[in-house]
Amino acid sequence: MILMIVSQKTKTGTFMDEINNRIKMIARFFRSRKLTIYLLILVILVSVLGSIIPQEHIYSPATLEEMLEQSEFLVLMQKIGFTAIFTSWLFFSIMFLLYLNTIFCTYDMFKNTIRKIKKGSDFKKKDEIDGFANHTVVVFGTTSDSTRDKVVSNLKMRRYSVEQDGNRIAAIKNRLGVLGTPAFHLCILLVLGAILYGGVGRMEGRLQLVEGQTLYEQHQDYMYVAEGPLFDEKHRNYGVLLERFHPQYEDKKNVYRGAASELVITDGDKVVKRDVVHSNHLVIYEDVSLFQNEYGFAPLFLLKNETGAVISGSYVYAEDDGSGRYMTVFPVADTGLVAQITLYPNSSRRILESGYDIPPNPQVYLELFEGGQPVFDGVLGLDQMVVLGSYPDAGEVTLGFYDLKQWSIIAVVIDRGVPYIFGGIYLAVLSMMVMFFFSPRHLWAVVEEGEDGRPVLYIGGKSDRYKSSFEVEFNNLIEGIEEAVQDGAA
Amino acid sequence: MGQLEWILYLTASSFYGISAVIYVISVVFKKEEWLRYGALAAFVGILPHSGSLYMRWVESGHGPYMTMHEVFSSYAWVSIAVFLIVALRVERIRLAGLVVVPVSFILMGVGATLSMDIYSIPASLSSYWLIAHVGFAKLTFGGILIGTGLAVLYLLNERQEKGRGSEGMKQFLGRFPNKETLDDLSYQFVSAGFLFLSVMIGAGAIWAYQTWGRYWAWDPIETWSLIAWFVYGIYLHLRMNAGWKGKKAAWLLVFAIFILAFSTFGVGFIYSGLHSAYMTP
Repeated sequence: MILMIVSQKTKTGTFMDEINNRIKMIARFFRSRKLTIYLLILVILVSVLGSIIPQEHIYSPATLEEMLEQSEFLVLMQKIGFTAIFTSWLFFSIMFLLYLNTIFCTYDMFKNTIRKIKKGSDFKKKDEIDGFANHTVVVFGTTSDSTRDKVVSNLKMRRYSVEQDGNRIAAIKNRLGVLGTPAFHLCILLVLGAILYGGVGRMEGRLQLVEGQTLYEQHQDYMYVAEGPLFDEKHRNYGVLLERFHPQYEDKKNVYRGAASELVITDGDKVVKRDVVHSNHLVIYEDVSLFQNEYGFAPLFLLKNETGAVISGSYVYAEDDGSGRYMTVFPVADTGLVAQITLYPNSSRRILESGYDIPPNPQVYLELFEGGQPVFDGVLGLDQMVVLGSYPDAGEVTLGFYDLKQWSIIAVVIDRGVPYIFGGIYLAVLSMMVMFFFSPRHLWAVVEEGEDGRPVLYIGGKSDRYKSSFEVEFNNLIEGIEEAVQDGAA
Repeated sequence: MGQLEWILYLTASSFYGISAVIYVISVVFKKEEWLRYGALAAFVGILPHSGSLYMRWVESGHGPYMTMHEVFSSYAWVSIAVFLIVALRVERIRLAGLVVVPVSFILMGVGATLSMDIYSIPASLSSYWLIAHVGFAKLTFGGILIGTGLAVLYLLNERQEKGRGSEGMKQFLGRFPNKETLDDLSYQFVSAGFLFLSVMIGAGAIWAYQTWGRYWAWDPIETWSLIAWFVYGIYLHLRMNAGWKGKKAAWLLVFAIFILAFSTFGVGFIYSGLHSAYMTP
């Protein structure tokens, strides 16, 4: 019985040791600097592939389809996911491993750094000082006390913090510079973590607004919306009113900003923000960011019956075809007709009673189709109409062009990770400055009386980085000490 | 004004060419005193070059970053300027002109073949972030080019020590910083360049979010600038953790400068993307 209990305890102990060993092995694997290099090389290779192989997010679906038809290689690349390589499992796996590796390495770095900082100054003997690459022995002609004081004052002049223990001196500069490297890596972790945090809960959408129209930050009002897997339809339901659109906006400093939209944001019945959004100037309310996107003209077409009452109608979104003409196609209510318009806006401006600026003489080239066959084409000016024919209950029905406004697409982004990403970038840059420009430097010295009674200085030191610059500083320090001691003697 | 600008540009290019020749002759024929004349020729060249850039800036109303001609010209200017400033203060690095000046001359030569038409700056580029992004991009290239130049000198030095060069060359190179110092100085410049590259990428990401609502879209230029950042990140890791110094580090820098040069100049020609849409050839 006792033997059985002993042998069971041994088995458990062996099992726990085995677990501990495995954990240590995994930790050793993830804290390896070699792993960092291999993972970085993999990221580089994947990125190069991503720049050589056409990526889906860069090309329009139509262009991509055309490219796929022409290249079997591209079809193969699409099958293995390389046409969306930056959102592939391969890329995410590499980045995940790199993230883990960085966590382990950063932990080690902080552990070592804190140990170094807590260690404080240690004093060295002259034999130990001789071991440094930068070391020298100087023989003076003054008393030891004065020499030691001059060494200390020269060190302090060069911003070293100095400690003394009898005739031994220990000096250090940029002690906290050791924090630069672990802090930088911590910032990398913050930035990557924030990218993930923001990405999974990100929402990006487009609201297409005509001047005077209000739409809401909710799923059904977007013309296009892309939501991260954890966004979970947490729309904010703010109202966004496009008060006025300016195709050639100048800001308060008279700097030309291109297209700009005057927005009013409402939360319930309350106006919470008014601002102008344009290129390089987003509008932020809480965690919602709004950006100026595309724009165009919105002519108003109304279907009227013979008494002049409006049967239906709306502003339609006409888009620039690149030549200054604006085109769109829309069905004409329940008539079975399809209208295709080409709007020719005039570039000069006048203010209407409504307060909107529109070109003075817009013309619309209207084509009507029924069953795919053209049934009408002609030019309409403002307040002009075309008779469509007689319809039951409505009588003679006309389609007319009655107003012209502008539409603007406002891109809406909800990405909670953005402040942390940018904060992480700022801190990473500061950490790098500390890492590269405030590298710790250590100096040790022993001042003792030589055989002939003259003081002898044994001095040496090292720098964590940039040894050649430290060598220059060391030589200048020795010169400074020699001058100071000679002046003192004089 | 366009003609005068072109004359100043050609004058600058000529002096950079003369400087490059002087540097090469001084190294090949071991004429240490000629290095001073090489630096002087580069300094003389940068004066009309500054005039040319200033005239273009005034006429266009924006800095030299809109067209490929302007990009090549301004990168050459920054490389020469940074080199001259540092060489004035740190005499030890003046031999790095052997790499910096010829590369800048080549940049000027390529720039001369490109269209000198002036394009106005679109509204989307009117931002202070443009200054940070473009400014640090140029400082990156200048700093890393000097670091790479020092790495090349290290390799030349190493070659001499292994007995593959003449005794005269050995004596000539012996008057300059030793290999360890060259290696260390190269590390310093590349570290500074890496910092500037990080600022450039960060500034670009913040600016992209303000303009387009996304901080990163794997645009080809964005991707290649990140590739360059990783390559120099690998250099620093190998240096700090794997003891890669001297010859290995120097060869890695020689390889890495081609990656940086491609990401700075080559990507805009090959790929269509947001950056190349703004930078007209």
